[in-house]
Amino acid sequence: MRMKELVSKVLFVDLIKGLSVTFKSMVSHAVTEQYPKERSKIYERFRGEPRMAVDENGKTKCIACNLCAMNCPVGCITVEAERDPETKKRVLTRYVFDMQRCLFCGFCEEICPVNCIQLTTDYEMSQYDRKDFVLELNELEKGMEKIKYKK
Amino acid sequence: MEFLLVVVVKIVIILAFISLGVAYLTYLERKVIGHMQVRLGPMRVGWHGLLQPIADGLKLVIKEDIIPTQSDKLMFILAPVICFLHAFLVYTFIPFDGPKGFWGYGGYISDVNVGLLFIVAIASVGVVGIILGGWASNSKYPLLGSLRSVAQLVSYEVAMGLAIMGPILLAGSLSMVDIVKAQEKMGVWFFVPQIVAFIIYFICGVAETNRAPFDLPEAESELVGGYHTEYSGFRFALYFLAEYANMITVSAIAATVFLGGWLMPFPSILGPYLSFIPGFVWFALKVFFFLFVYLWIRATFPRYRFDQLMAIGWKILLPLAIANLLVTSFIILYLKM
Repeated sequence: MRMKELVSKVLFVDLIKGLSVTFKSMVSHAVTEQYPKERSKIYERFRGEPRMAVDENGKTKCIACNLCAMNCPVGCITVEAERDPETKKRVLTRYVFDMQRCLFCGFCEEICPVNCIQLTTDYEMSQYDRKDFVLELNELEKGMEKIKYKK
Repeated sequence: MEFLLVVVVKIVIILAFISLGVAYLTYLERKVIGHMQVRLGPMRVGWHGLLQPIADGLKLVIKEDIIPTQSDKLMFILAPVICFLHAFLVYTFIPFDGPKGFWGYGGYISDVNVGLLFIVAIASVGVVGIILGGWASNSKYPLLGSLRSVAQLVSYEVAMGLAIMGPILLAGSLSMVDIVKAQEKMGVWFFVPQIVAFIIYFICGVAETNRAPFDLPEAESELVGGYHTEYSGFRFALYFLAEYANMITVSAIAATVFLGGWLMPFPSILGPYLSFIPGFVWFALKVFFFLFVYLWIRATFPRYRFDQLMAIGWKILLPLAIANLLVTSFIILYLKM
């Protein structure tokens, strides 16, 4: 047994085995993705940047029910509303979505009775300033202003 | 006058070629190791990242030059220059092509009759640059790194020197050109009769240039960066260039002494078809092969422990080299009698 070990050490058997492993992986295809150039496939149910839907008149679909804010596990949604004295309905006055805290669980989307808040498949949401992550209603409707990567 | 002009032109060409080679060796390293780790390596700067070394070099040159306040300023400035100078000086004696090469001007700057001895001597002066740099930084990691480096270089130089004695005995000369000519005359490259010396030389060469798996002097995980931790900008670039130039030197010596330098493989079979290829192309191919093996080894093996390193050097390689030397000399003596 010891003789066998010695022979394999002298002939670098283990070392050659290791070298062959690395050589094989060198001639195989790379598994990495060249990110800004190529992107991996995003599935339909991906939970990305939130958007607020509008109706055909361009008005928000939100009925200020406050369910999204109540359901949010991190409390990143603030809904402010007041009652319209004529129709006796709650009208949205302010809607704030704090992207810094959002964990993209999708509970707001699930609970929304009018399908107003939705999570899109966009995932490139980096900004230079922290205050740019706090989105108001108009920003949520047309989507965040994005910083485009320039080569 | 013409002689001087030829030499100057040769120096300029070789210096430019080696500098570019060193720069692109870093690119090759990143690419080869990247592919071995199933990724692509540099891809963004130029086509397939081909301009990456130039961008890196430019960055190093325009970086701020920091000299630590507690350092020995003169030595701190001098050390990388010593390292760099001796790494590049060696190329004077390396035959890139035969005496008829480079279109009749001779494929080397000078052919000294003690060429190999000179190369080994000059290469070991580079150690001074390393220990001075580590000491002058006046910081603990560089000092530890330089101590390790010097211990390693000194112990592996012995085995390395004894290993190249074998081919010298076979060739009967210390001149690099004569060694290659002896291989041509013998009809077989020296790595066949001197396979033990060849393996010892290559292992020692890896250790000499502080490459993985013997990269203890610059073990990132233990010593930050080794002897050049405190260096930045252009001075760091000098160390970096010296290290990679040393890699090319060791590969070039291996190619010359063991793989027949500028000679063509199987001249009796391939001779009629490939004789139009100049000798320096064969030489470059051989050097490239060694460099590739260097990178391949780095991508494969983990680092040795320091006591293992010393044990390999003194207990295995040195006795083997001495035994190889004795056996070779006895065989030569027997054949002569």
